[in-house]
Amino acid sequence: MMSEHDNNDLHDSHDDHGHGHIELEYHKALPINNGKVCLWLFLSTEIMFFAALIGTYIVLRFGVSGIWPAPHDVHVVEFWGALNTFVLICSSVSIVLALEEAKADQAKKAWSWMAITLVLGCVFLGVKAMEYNSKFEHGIYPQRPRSLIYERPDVYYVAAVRDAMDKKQSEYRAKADEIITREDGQARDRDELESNIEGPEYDAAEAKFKEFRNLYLAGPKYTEMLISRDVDARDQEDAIIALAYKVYPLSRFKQRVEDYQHREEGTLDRLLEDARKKLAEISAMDASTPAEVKMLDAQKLLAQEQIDSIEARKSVFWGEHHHQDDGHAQGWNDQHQLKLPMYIPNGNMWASTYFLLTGFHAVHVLVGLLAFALMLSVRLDASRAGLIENVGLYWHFVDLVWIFLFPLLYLF
Amino acid sequence: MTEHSEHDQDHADDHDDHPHVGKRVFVTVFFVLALLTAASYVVGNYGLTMGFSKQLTWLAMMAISCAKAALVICCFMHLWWEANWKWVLTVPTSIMACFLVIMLIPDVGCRTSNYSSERWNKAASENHDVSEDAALHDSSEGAEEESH
Repeated sequence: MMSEHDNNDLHDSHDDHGHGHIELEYHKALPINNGKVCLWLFLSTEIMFFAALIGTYIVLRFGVSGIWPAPHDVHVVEFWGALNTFVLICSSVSIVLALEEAKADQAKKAWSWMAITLVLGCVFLGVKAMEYNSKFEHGIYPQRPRSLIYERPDVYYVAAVRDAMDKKQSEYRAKADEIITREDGQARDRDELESNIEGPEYDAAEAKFKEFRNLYLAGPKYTEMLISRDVDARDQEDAIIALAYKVYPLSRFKQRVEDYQHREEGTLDRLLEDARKKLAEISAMDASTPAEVKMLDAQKLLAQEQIDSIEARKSVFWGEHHHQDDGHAQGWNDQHQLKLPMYIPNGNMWASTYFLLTGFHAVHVLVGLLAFALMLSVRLDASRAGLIENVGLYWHFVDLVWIFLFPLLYLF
Repeated sequence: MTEHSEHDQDHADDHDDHPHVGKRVFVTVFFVLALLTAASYVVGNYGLTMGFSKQLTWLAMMAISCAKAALVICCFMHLWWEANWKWVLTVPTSIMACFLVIMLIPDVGCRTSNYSSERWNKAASENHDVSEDAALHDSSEGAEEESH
């Protein structure tokens, strides 16, 4: 391959030794090589691309109605962002040093620095993958059906929680029933469980079911009962937010939920009394026709469920204290390994912008890593310095974008 | 041959346009960048406990980011030592980038100012709750920061 230098040399010598004709001087439009011109042109388009992305994020974020999710609300850990920033800065300096060594014709040293850059880029992507995973694990996706984010504390949210818990409750029931079912499909009595293992196993499964059913009754069931009655709109919203807080606590609702708890606790005894009275009334009723009997039974069941849910509310709902772990408050989703719908105001907008920004950045990192991997296969001596410089310029730009993304996504 | 020395000069312009920049400069810049990252992290996490307003911490973090970006562009990307062509590429692009952002403000940034009540019913939080929630948010965040 003829280097640019040789090329110019030939070209110029032709002009200059042209048998005493006019002497032409060769001047390039830009005092840099073509590759670098192209790369800078590409970088200009990239600047506008990321300016549009980051600008849209800023405009969406600060023009939002309500509050933007705080980092800990959506499992963003500042430390990992800071670490990744540091990793990218290290990789930026290592690629610069690779260029310096290549210029000095130290191919081996240049190769080592390039390899270090590649490794650092991989570390960045690894941390990113881990961060993405922690979001996916908690049901934070940019879109339904995988996303568990609900943006409004309304009846649809409560219904979604109720459905999810109902399904889980059936699973627990089935698990317990499986142990107690005989080979012929008939259920056995608890006393019939003969082996030493089966008995305790069944008891554990039954206890698990009961514990979960209590949560189900105290949470969505009670909330639905409350909001179906004619109560104050503010109370209704508070009750739903209290449920959402138990499922997935957001620190901003802590005070509001505590206030609501004090208000609610005063009313529970009266509610329980009313529900018991109602059950007694229904039980006292006489039914003559089979249809009436059926209706009364259904009403009795409903009244009993109300009593159960109020009792469960008293015993398990407010009693549990979630502990703070690593800045993330633990709700039912974490404590019981559930995937219940979460109420995160503006959570969908957050997820869309976060995954778009970091995703596009990660794609750029990936492209850079491919370039590094390809370059590691050649000898990185002085003749490759231009190439290394161009790849380095691209890599610095990727670093540049992250310099702005880090505070905007992790610290604001 | 005079031409040849000219070519050498050309070549120097191509690749070795900043012959006096040693590795020491890059390493120094690296440490400054790491320090600025740490500063940004501290301001973002503990700025509120130190008594700064939220807006001030945002401003500080953006200023730090701009300083870091300037260091990377000038030093790592060698723009400081490049000839005047650098302005041709970077200035129009930067202006375009700023325009892009400004153009988003009326339609996207101020979108909620024209919301109808029907639209508010589908928004993430309701109009009348905004100030209240913000107050709650601030107070609870303050409490959270103190517990750190």
